[in-house]
Formats: sequence, structure tokens, C-alpha cells
Amino acid sequence: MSTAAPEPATRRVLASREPEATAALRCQCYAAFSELTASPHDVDAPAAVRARLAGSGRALPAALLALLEEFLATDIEALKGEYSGLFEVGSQGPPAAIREDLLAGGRAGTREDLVRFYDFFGYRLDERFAWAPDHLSVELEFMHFLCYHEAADAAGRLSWQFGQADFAARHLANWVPQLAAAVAGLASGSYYGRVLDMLRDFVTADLAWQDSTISEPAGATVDG
Amino acid sequence: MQGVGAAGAALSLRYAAAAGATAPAVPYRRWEDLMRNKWTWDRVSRGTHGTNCAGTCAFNVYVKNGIVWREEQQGMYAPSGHDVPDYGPRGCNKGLRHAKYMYGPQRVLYPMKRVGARGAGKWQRIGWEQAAAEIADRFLDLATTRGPQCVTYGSGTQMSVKLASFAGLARFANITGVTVPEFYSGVGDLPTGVYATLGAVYTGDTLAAVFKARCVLVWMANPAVTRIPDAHFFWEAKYNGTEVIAISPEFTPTAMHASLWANPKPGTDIALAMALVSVILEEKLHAADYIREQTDLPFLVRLDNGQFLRGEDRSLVGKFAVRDNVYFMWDEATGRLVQAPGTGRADPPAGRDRRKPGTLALGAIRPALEGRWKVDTLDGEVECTTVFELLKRRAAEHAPEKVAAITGLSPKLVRRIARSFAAAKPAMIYSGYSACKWLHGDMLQRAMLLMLSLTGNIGPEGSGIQFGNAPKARGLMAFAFADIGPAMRMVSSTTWDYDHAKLKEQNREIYGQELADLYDERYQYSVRKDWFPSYSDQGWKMAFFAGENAANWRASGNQWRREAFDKLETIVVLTPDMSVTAANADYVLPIAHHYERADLMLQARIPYLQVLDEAVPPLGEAVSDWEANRRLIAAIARRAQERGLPAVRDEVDGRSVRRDYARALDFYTMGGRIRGVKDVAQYIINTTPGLPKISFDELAARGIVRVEHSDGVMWDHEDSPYHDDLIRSVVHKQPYETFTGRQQFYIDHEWFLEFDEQLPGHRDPLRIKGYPLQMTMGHARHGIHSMWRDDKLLVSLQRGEPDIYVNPEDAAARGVADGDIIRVFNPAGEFQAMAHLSAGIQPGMLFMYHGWDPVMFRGGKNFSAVIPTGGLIKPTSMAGDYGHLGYRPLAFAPNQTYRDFTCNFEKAPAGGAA
Ligand code: SF4
Repeated sequence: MSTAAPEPATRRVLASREPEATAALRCQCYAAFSELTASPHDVDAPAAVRARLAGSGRALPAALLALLEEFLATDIEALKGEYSGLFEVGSQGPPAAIREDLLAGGRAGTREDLVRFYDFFGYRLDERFAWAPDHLSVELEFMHFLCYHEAADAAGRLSWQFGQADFAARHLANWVPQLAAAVAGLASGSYYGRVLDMLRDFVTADLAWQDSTISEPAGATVDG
Repeated sequence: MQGVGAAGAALSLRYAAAAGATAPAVPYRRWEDLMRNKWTWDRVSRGTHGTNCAGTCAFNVYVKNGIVWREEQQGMYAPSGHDVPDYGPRGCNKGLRHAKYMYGPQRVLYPMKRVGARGAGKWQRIGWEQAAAEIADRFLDLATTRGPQCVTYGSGTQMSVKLASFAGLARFANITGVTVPEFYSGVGDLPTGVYATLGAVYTGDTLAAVFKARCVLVWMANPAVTRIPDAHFFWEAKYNGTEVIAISPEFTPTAMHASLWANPKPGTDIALAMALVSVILEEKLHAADYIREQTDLPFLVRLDNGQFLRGEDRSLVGKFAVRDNVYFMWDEATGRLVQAPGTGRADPPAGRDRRKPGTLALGAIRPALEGRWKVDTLDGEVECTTVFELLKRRAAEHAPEKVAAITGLSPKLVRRIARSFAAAKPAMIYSGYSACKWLHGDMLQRAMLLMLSLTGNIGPEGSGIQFGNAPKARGLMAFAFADIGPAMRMVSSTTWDYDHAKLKEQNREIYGQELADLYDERYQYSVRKDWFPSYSDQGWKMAFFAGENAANWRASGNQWRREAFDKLETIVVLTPDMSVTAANADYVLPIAHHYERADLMLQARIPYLQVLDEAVPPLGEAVSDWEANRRLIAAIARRAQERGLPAVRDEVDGRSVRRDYARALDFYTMGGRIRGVKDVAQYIINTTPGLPKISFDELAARGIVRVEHSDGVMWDHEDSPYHDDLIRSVVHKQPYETFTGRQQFYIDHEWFLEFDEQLPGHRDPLRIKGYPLQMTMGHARHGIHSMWRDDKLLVSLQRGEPDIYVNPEDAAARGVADGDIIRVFNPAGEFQAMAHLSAGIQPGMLFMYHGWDPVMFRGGKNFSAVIPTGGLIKPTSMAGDYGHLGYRPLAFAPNQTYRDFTCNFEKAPAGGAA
């Protein structure tokens, strides 16, 4: 006698998530963090931040706004020096690798998991950046991208919402605290140290909030 | 990319293009959904690893989303004949890690400039333009004041195997006039004993030739570890009945699989080789007809002064007309003195003298091998004998019973090996480069060649001394010199270091005043006489290093760092990976790794031309070596123009050279005709004999193509891409490119006579008084030199950190247990490593696999700290004005010595290194 396997209990997004009210702001927060953690050597971050502040960026939380303003007020050469010295160059590799794969010690599957996320959701990296799908700024931009679509695509919203929760849990929340701690150990109180501290708090809080707005069937894990 | 969503969210992407503004085609509900999409490759490229593993294994490189995810052996090799195994499967553990390693933390991704003290680890990323301009200015300051010779462009084995890259570097050096300290002798890899004997330095066939041998001595080599893709030939030969005899002091993985293992004490190999020679002679196992024709063994030597009987000894006519290269034999057929056929050219041969007249063929002459004769000379009647007689005497001094205490080997075993070797037709010696690293390694090679020659085993298929052959690659140098002619400075790294690192002082400290003075006096004499070049008069001010990690392996490492490297005004390192050399540089420039660049690979072990192709663009801001040099030379030209620098007069080896730096870029790119490294590769394909004339793109599509004239296992065709000089002599009877025109076992240069090196003989390896343990090293299984040595997985397959092999008795005597950290020391320095106790190591020795970078060691020092041998340049290695002896780049130059020292060890103090 055969019996059909029971339907797996499905996750649900709770009404308390209020995507219309939250997605756009979160989308903007992730974009701002992506800009702040981008290499100022590769990306014209001042222009991006300026554009953000000139646009709807004023709605960002005050502390993040202050970091953006400080970014603009700081000599870009000094920022480049601090950024590259911490994240990009070093005698034995960068002192604090800003790429998940490196910081997590080359855990098998990290990059494959990222690329599968990006592919699934249609986020295709430019050839110039394709080699570093695990760069923090790229991962944050991807979250920004997911949030944007949560806001913009009411019909397919569930996919974007679950994607965010899983991506944040599997990636950002896994290594941003570690990176923030590494930078605190190297350059506590520095500009990027403060960016990472705030990002860590944001990512952690955002994941907790996402968890609180998604119901999990008993016994299930986000990891599956 | 920007967009504004319905709920007021703005999309702003700088890294990506968003394909879908709507939900994914399949709804996402759980992470598992990601895995439902089939993983497909965007591209499969051909490639290999452009490092000096001598493997050139063909790989498929799998790319998705601009990332290399994995590699797989391509393996489509045909055999060299129906009766030998093919060249597959090729590959090794390192190669199969590269797709992971290339994304590792050690990668140099951006041009870096030091912002703290040297070596302090403080760096700043800068742009290529800034880096190139600053470096160009420093170069121009020096080139226009002191001359470009005070700037070096050092490269290593990793560079030399990539033909197009190396051609670009050579062209850069040719245009700028920088000094190129060649690394072959610098790493102690130059088979000078082979050159001195055969007049050809790179002898060797494909590895399939091993299968043809009936007896192979694997000596100073460990192919099971160092030639992973080719080691199968040894074991297939063994299953086919070949006796594979491993000779090494330590029980190597090769010895483990061999038919027989002989373990002489370290540094006693010449004694063993001569003992084997003595048995061959004593038991008359030699091939008399072969040596009569091919060697100098029947040549007459004056007993009054130990020199060859020459034409100049016999007549004034001889003195002026044929100078000193007419040699004599005693003809048993007529009972008369006769001129040796093939000798008596108008001038001593200079390099590869294609004009050599004559033949080795003896005709009706039957040269005596033994006897004494009185010969009329301008000095009166002089008693003469043959080289063969002198050899017999020298060999008898090394009879197995006489040298047993030296070698530690039972005479019975030595006799058994000699008989097996002599009876096998053909027999081969597969020798690694380790032989060249001993102070008297040249004599070991001469003794090995004696064994081969005496048994008729130089020339036939499956015989000979098997070092790596080197491609003729004429296109490479043709490219370097095209349109501008040769104006390049090349010296041995060994002599360059001696000039700049105060190595005479270290010789005095370690080996005593007498040796230091003697070696230095001969060294200076040789340079004064122009036997060897020196471009050191303006000091050493600036250095480029590409494809080499010099501060990792230099002998006399501490001294070299202190006295030479650290005193450089500017150090520029071009590299894909950080290393101790890069960590101590002023500028580090990012270079593309193996799957990110186009190039050609050609290695004599297999008869295939192999491509390196750009599977993905170089990571970060890395570029190919060709492009890096183009950017540097473009900056030199631009800055020379901006500074209004006129052309300067330079003099290279007596030739006047005009260096117009403002036009340097134009020269480098041949007026813009060479647009990139693929054009260089195509130039080499088009101009190198023996390479199939195909386009680079076609090669890239196929991965490998068979080179021409490679039907058999040997490089015996004039038009194949490798040297075949010995065939020319053995088969076609043309004289060898030696002073005597023969395989020359007797060298009567006055220094050879003075140091009793006219024939090979045992010398005790040098020891440091009070330090009882001879330390030796070898290439590693888990790295190619320092590349991949820090790969996490590979390190985890070892002890997790550098280890050194120690005999259990030596360890017990010092209270050391397996796994303890020990301090290895001698007067030159010290380092710490984990004791790896092994009964396969003889008491009285230490063994370590090389390549570990200092940063991997507790205390930050590696083995180089205790190797004090950089200044051990024995006089005969600087001999000149003697036919083929004298400086010949990449053929005859003093090797840097890496053995001939001792040390001691103790348990490291608790708490580790300071
Ligand atoms: S590293 Fe060398 S031997 Fe190993 S797979 Fe690559 S080419 Fe072959």
C-alpha cells in the first residue's frame, strides 16, 4: 500500500511585514550600504552617495545618513587609502578580506550558492566584477535588488521576500559580524570600522525582522 | 542601471544588469529551489599551468558567469610509436587545485605601493598609470646617470616556460639595457658537467624514452614526487622488465616503487659513480669501439705536464696554423702517432660552431686505449699515455671496496649495480637538477657520463643522461631582437649575487679565510680576463622580479637579504601571488594567473605544443606579463618625452648601443605591429622550427598539437623543436662542440689540473665545523617551487605547516619527538619547523621539501637562512679561454651551490620562535 507524501508545510509571510511600507526603505538602506562598502577605486562612490542624498536618501535612518554625509566630507584619497589598506591589499592577502569566500576560509560552495542566487533572480554581474560575486558590496547590492522587486512586483512578491530571508541568513548574517570584528581589531573607530559596525547591526536586525515577518513551519530551518 | 518601482523604491545597480524586472520564471519558495536549475557551463577553454613543473598537462577549464569553477584533464595524447605507452594521463594535485587557488587570499589583484617601512605590511592600492609612471621615473633617473646595468630584471623558471611572456621580457631587457641575471645557474640547475663533456647542455628525450631503457638509474631525482604526470613511464617500464634503480640517501617515494634502492651518504655520489666506473673498467665491461670513436679516451696526454699532446707541441707550424686544437692518438694498426680525426679546426669552437669540418669516423685507424709512448715534441722527447689509462688509474682509486667507508654502500651492491647497468642495452641515467646544486656537481655529471659512454649508452634510444631538453625556440630570441638587434646584458645570478651580497665575507666566516681568498682570487681573475662578464661596476640599485620568488630560495638568504636585496633603492615585483619577495618590495604589480592569459608552453618531456588561453579575464586589475611590460615601457617612453631626455650611449660587451627611451614603446611593439601577447605567440609559432604552423586561435581551440618530427621517443631530427646535437655526433659522426671535438672527459685547463679535476673524483662535501648534520632538500609533491605551497587543502594533506625529516636516532639524541617544533641552526642563521621523524632518513642528515615561504614558518624564516653557500663558486666553474669553456649563457656558468653545508637542531624553546 502506498501513501502520498505529506505536503511540506509552507512558509508564510505575515501581514505584519507591510511590504509597501518597508521594502522601499530597506531597498534604499541596502543600496546605501553597498555604496559605502564599494571600493572607492572601482566605483565613483561619492557621485552615487551625492545622488542618493539629493534624491530620496534623506529618508534614511539618521545614523546612516550621518555616515553618508561623513563619507562626502572626507577626502576621497584618505578613504581610498583606508579602504585598500584594510580590504584589498596586504602582504599576506588583505588584512580584512571584504569577500565572503576569503573571510569564511574558502568554505566549499559559498560562491556557487551566491551564483545560484544571482542566476535564479536574474542578477547578472558585469564581466569586470564577475570574479567577485562574494564581495560585500555586491551582496548588498543584490539585497537592494531583491528589496526593490519586493516593492515593485506585487504579483511575484513572495519569491523576492523568501529570497531575501534566505540570502541574508545564508550569507550576509553569516559573515558581516566576522568582518566587522576583524576591522574593529585592526582599525577600531575608523570610518570603515564604523560603517561595518552599523552594517552588522543593520543586517542582524533586518534578518531578525524578516524572520519575525515570515512564519516557519515547526521544525523547519531556513537552510532547508 | 536605474529604475523606480511602484512603491517608490529606486533601483540602482553598478555591478550588474538585472535581467528580469518581474518575478523569477519559477517561484522561489525555499533555498532548494536554487538547486533545481541545471548547472551549465558558459564556456570550456583549453589551458594548463604556466609554471615549471615540466608537465604542460592539457586541461579543460570550465567557466560559468565569468568564474572558473573547475578544471579537468583533457588527455588526448598519442604515443611516440606503437611499442610505448602514451603520455596520458597528465595532471597533478596542484593543477587540480588551481581553479580554487586562483581566487585565494594570496592573489595580487591591484597595483600596490608600499606606504610603511619595507616588509611592514602597509600597502596602498594605486592605479596602473601612477605605478608605471613612478617606476619609469626611477628607472630613467638611474639609466641616464649610472647606466641601465644597475637595474636588473630577474625572472625565474615560472617565466621561462611561458614562451611569449619570456620573449616579451627579453625584448624589454634588450630595449632598456637592464641586466638580466639568469636564474638557471642561479637556482643551481645548470648541468655544467654535461656541457663540459658533451658541448651540449640540455640533453634529454621525451619521457617515453624511459620505457625503452632496460636499466634506469634514477639518481638525484624523485620523479614519483616531482614528475607526477610522467612517473608512470618508470613503473610501466618496470612492469615491462626494466630494472629501475633509485639512488638517493633518503628513502623517497620513487625508491619505494623502484626495483632496487641504493642509499649513499649524502654528497658521496661522485665516489659511487666512480666506483661504478671502476667496476666497468676492471671487469672490462666497456664498449671499446664506441669510446675509441666518440670520446677523448684514446687521446694522448703528456705525462710531464698532464696536458693533451697537441699540434702546438709538435711543430711551429702546428703552433701557428692550427693552434692548440689538434690532438693525437696512437694507431695500433700502424704503430704510429696519428692526428685524431675531426680535430684541427682553425679556431677553437665558439658556441655552436656549425662550420666544423671533419668527421669522427676512424677509417682504418685503430686507436690504442692503453699504453705509453715516447713522442718527439718541441720540448724534446715526452712520455705520453692515453686518457683511458689515466681514467683507469683514477677509477681504481674509487674501487667499491675503497670507497665503501665514504659512500656507506656495500661493495657487493655496487658491483651488482655496475654489472646490471653495463649489461643492459640500453641503459639510462635519469638525473634531476639536484646534481647541479652540489659544489662538485659538475664532476658527478662527468662521472655519470663516463658510465654511460663507457657502456656505449650515449646516443641510442633509451640511453643517455636525461635532463630536461630545452626547446630551440629560436622564435623567442628572434622576437626579442627583431628590428633592434641584440643589445641585452645577461649574467649568471650566481656571479651577480657574489658581486653584490658580500659573499666572500660569508665564505670566510663559514668556510675559512683560505677558501674565501682562493675562490675570490680566481673569481676576480676570471672577470678581469673577460672569461665571465660583470655588469656590476655601477652597483645594484633597482630590481624587477617577474615569475620568481627570489627571497624565498636564494642561497645565503640572510646575507643576500641584508647586503643586496634590502639595500636596493627600488624593488618592483610582478606576480600573481604574494610572496616574501613581494612582501618586501616597493611596488607589486598584479599579473594574470594561468587561466587568465594567453601563451605557449613547450616542454621536451612530451612532443606537444600546449596553449595557455584566457578562460576568464584577469582578476581585478591583473594583466599578462606582456601587457605589464608594455605599460612599463609606455611609461618610460612617455616620461622620457616629457622630461626631454635625449638618447643615451650605452656599451654592451664592447658594442656601442644607442638607447632612445622616448621611442621605447615603439620598439617594444614593433611600431604597433604587435598588439598583444597573442601576436607574440603567433610570431614564435611562425618562426620556430618544428612547430606546426597554425594560428594561435586554432591552437587555443585544440589545446595541444603535436610538434613536428616527433614520431619516436627521441629528439633525433634536425628540424624538431629540440636540440639533437648528440645524434649529430653519434650517428652522423660530426665532432662534438667541445674543445677536443669529442665527448671530453679529460679537461687540461690549468685550473682543472691544479685542482685535480682533469678527471672526476670524489670530494668530501663541505661541512661546517661543529655542525654534524648534512642538510639536503628536494622538490615537493604539494607545490611547484613556492607556487601552491600555501594552498589550504594541500597544506592540510601534509603536516599543516613546514616540516623537516629527521632520523629517529638523531631526534632521540636531542630529546625530540615526532611533531615537535625544532630549531635548525648553524652560524649562518636558523629557522624552525616541525620534526617529521622518519627511518627513511639516514642518521647524520636532515631533509626538507622546498618551496615553503618564510611567512609559513614560525619566526618568519625559512631554510634559506641556514644555507650559507651562495659564495661557493669553485674556481673551475669560472674557467675560460679554453675552447668551449668560458661564459656561455645558459650553458656554462657557475651554479649557485645549495648543498655542501651542515647544521644542527634542537627542540625549539617553549613558546615558539622569537
Ligand atoms: S601543475 Fe604541472 S604537472 Fe600539475 S597538472 Fe599542471 S601542468 Fe600538470
